[in-house]
Amino acid sequence: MTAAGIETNNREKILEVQNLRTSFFTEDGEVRAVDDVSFNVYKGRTLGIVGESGCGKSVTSLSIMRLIPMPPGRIVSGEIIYKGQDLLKLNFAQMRSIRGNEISMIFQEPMTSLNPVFTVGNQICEAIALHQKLPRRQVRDKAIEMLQLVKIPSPEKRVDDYPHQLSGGMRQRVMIAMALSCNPQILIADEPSTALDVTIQAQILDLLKELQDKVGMGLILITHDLGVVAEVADEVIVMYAGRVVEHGSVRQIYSNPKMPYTMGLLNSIPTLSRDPTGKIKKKRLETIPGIVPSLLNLPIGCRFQDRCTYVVDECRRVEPELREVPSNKQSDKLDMTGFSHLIRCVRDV
Amino acid sequence: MSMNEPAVNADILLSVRNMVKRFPIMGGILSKEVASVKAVSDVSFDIRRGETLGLVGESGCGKSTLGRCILRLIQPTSGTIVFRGQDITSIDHAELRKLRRNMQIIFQDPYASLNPRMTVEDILGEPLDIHKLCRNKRERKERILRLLDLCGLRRESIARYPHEFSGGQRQRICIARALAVEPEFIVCDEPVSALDVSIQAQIINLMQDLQKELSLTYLFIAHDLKVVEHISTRVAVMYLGKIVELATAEDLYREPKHPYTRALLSAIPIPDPTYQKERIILRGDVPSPINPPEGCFFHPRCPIAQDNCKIHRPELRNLSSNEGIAHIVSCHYPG
Repeated sequence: MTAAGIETNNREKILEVQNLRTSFFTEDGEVRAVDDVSFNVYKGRTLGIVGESGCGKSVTSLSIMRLIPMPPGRIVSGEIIYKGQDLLKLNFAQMRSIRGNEISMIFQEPMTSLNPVFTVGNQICEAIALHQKLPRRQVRDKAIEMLQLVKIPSPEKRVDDYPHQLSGGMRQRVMIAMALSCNPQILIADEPSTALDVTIQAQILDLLKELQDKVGMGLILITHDLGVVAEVADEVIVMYAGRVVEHGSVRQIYSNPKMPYTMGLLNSIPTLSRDPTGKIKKKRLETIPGIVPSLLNLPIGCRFQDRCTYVVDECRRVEPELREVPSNKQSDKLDMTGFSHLIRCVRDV
Repeated sequence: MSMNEPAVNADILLSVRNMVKRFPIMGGILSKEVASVKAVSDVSFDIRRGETLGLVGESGCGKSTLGRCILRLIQPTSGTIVFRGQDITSIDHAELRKLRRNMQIIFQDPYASLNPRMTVEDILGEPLDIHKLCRNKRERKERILRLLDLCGLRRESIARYPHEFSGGQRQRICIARALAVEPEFIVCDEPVSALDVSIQAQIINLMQDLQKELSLTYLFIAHDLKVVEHISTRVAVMYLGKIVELATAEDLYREPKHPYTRALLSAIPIPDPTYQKERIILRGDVPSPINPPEGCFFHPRCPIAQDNCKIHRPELRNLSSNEGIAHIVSCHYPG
């Protein structure tokens, strides 16, 4: 359920990311892919991370999983607190017992993230056998049970199929089954529906929501599709060039965006005329001029300055800090989720 | 207008009749044809001068194959294609080459469709050389520079290589290349789906500006229904190699008649968290085009299928009461 006001106070924090910085050290210099990113993940809630390619959203999720290729990458600073311990301080063995077990991940490409030479059952069993001490017979039963959970028809037969025998949507279901097989506390879904067709995407998003209600995990949904985020997320982070530029509840971000980048993104999507939001059909799409700056060569001041229509001199001098949007009685009434609305912009709002 | 006779209307730039494309599947020790993929089965439609016909459908529905068959980049198995009053279904290579001056294509992936070893000048100059459109080097260069201006690229770009550009800029180069020979008709095969949202809007606006300025006609193939509504005059929906609905963009999005179109439209995520809508979730996946189901191709996934649908394949029929504006649907029980 999105924006259910009553639950405000009993949110249970399960993951805390603080001032995360991840850089890649290349021949041309340091690329700060994720630069000072902080957020929390709550039990049973969905955090959406949106942004365009190269904004650092995937690197953020890989940092949580400690899957950043090192070298050239390195998590430079920050803390990722899970169950009272900092994931960044764990050794490899300790991390392995968490990864795929308590925090798991599904990737964008269901075609490439499954091993083509093993049956899907075999691949699901691998995760279960690794993390749970179950007799062999039961491991297979558990795999079938997982396939049933993600609604794959005749799971006892499908468990012996190879990935190429399944369609894209079915493969993504297998990935979800695998990720959920050890009852994780947190599921990171990196563009889980991007490679899929709309009708299949709807099935997968529905499934994720249903499973979240059933299992109660915290979900981090990474996507570039603002429509998907609006439907699934409770809380949203908008990233630009490695920085969080706007952060708030899904209603705050969509009904009351304050950062010019978020406003531009929302305006540049064509709207359907049959939906209430798109009654007036736009003749021309609004665009954000220019392109994302290179992370090797960032401007001084706000990173969005060259593409911003509201740019003032101050934007070119200092980079604005993330600050809270002064509360407005009217919008507060609409939004009772208790998420504060943060923006990185000097504009008077 | 009968759908079986090629139209002899001056307004019509391209008409496709009963196009079929089957890809054989070879098997056995003698490599005989054991089955075939029916990528496009019996498709007919017209494209009018200056319009944009949107073609939507899920992956594997045959929309790209159809686009390529029209340009004869793939030879259709049967059917006729009439372009500017000329039957181009079986013309030879030399003639085909001449024809390509008038019909061009823009591909989905701007990373794969530009040769990394050629500079922008080479890329844009090649079609000019092939069709011998420039008398001398100076004229050639001027023309290339004009193309860069037209597509919103800097003039300095002329000496650069594709890897020096971002995705959106590369797609601009692809558009410039298609425009180099001053075509009348462009097949746009998912031209914006590989691009980021903010860049997508830039390219869509560019394509619309160019259409107005150069009176182009587009066949716009895409799976993003929002983009297609925005850019198209009329829209055709394909499912498993067949057109299941064709109408003006306005009619199709406001009053979709085919249950598949309705499900597609309801599945689009809307960027408004306050909006509660009824979503039709389709069961299962698209069936294999090797063994399409009996009767209506859509019946195994259709939420309103009746027994009749399992036996009889519905024909395309016009449901519009409005003379001249057709709304064609193939369904026994249109909504």
